[in-house]
Amino acid sequence: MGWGGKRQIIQALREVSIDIQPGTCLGIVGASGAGKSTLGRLVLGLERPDAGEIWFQGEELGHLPLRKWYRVRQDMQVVFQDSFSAVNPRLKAQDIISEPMRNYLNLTDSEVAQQVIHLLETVGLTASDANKYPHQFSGGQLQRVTIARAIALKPKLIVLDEPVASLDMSIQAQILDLLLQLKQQFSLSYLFITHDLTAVAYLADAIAVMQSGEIVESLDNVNLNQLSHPYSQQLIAAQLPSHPRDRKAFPSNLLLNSFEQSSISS
Amino acid sequence: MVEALLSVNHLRTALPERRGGRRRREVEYHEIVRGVSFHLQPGKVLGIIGESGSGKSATCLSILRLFRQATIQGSVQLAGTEITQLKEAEMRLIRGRQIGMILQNPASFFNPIASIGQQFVDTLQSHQSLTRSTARSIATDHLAAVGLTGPQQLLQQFPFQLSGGMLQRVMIAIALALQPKVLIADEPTTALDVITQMQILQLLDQLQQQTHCAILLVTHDLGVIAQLADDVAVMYNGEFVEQSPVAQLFDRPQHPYTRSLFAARLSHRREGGR
Repeated sequence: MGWGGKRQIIQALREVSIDIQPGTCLGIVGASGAGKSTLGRLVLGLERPDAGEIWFQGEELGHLPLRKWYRVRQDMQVVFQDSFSAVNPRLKAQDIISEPMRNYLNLTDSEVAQQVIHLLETVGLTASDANKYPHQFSGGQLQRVTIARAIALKPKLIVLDEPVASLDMSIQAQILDLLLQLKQQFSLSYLFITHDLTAVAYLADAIAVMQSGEIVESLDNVNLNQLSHPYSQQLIAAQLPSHPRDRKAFPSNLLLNSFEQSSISS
Repeated sequence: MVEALLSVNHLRTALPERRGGRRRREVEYHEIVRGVSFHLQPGKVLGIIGESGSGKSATCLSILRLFRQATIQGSVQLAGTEITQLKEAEMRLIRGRQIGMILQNPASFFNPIASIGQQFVDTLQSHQSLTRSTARSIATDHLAAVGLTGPQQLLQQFPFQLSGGMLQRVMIAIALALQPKVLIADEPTTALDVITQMQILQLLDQLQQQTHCAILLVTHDLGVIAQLADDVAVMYNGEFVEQSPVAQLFDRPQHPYTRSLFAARLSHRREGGR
């Protein structure tokens, strides 16, 4: 980097093993810095693993040559937390959504245009939204645009990295509803990365709890009261109450022992 | 009745909008806060709940007079003194120390060419007479309290080197360190993970226990309201549509908009169990 000093190697993930069954959603929960996003990035091929294997549709991705990623990316898509930085601000919604189709499919312009309208309607927007620029949408609406882009090629797996964390609470439920409906409609699989246990219970079929780069507990269901690991308990205790009478007593140890590595980049 | 620490009466804020083409200079005023009134009591938390665009942040900025182009009408009294007509130099003494602030877009409140440490320490020293080393130590303690590790190194960094979430926490640390009489917290925990969120709420609670300050807590999240608020005002389109003690709001929401907020919550929407 040029600043001098030693380069630190931080082990972001240790011995992580997960399975996602077709048509199901695996929720990965944990606090910031737990390694959840790193896991998502590895699955997407945005980073290479130092050890271990990632199998997707019969191919091992960790050592896949770059030219073969082209085909894999058609089946694997992503939705990020911040929709505004996930899109080109100078492109209209129709161009954002149609980009994957123009890259992969051999469609005429009018077929693409039709597909765009169909996708907009699928995600709860309208045909007139096709001509709008990102800044003309609200956060929730723009997230719908990125979801439309993600399903454009009918992928098998979508990595959802905190897809609703930046949205108003009332909009979060709408977007999760949409994701649930799309999963059922198109038999999608999701890797759902979040710190929100309520959202996980809503959308996921199975759950893995991560702390400091390791999976400390996993369930093949989302009955949160079956979680028994102390860190899982901490996450549950940290969920906000749904009524003032269920106000959580602030635990005295909360301030001391819940920090994940927090490097300068976290 | 205890005298309110902060009294806001009929606050109205309007933003100018230019209408017409290049040659027309007509300016129309668009009201974003429409006659808001509330009183903050010492040791109590007033929560304002509303969605984006409801005017809740505008209310906070109007009280602090941080809204350059806006026209503000109405009365804001801090411990009995009217502050709406104060000069900017006088407002600067009030902001931070008398009325603490945790606001959205923290990046816009930091000087980009001064280190975090310089800004934190300068802010502390400008409000209290402290030696530099005492101020530094208060700063590192508070940075650690909001969950930022490596506080010593953090002091030497510049705002651009920190993520939005980290800057948000630095802003919270500064606000807490100044121990204000009134704290305005606008979405202090948005986009922070659940554990950090609870820590921040715990710190606000602790500050209140220690200093008996009044807190105005603005959020879109009913969970934050449930955890910390004593009284709640529901804001929609620049106005309060409902105001009541927190348990009453959750048990018997009156206004249709309030009811729609409750209906939109996740745990209540799933049909059939799993």
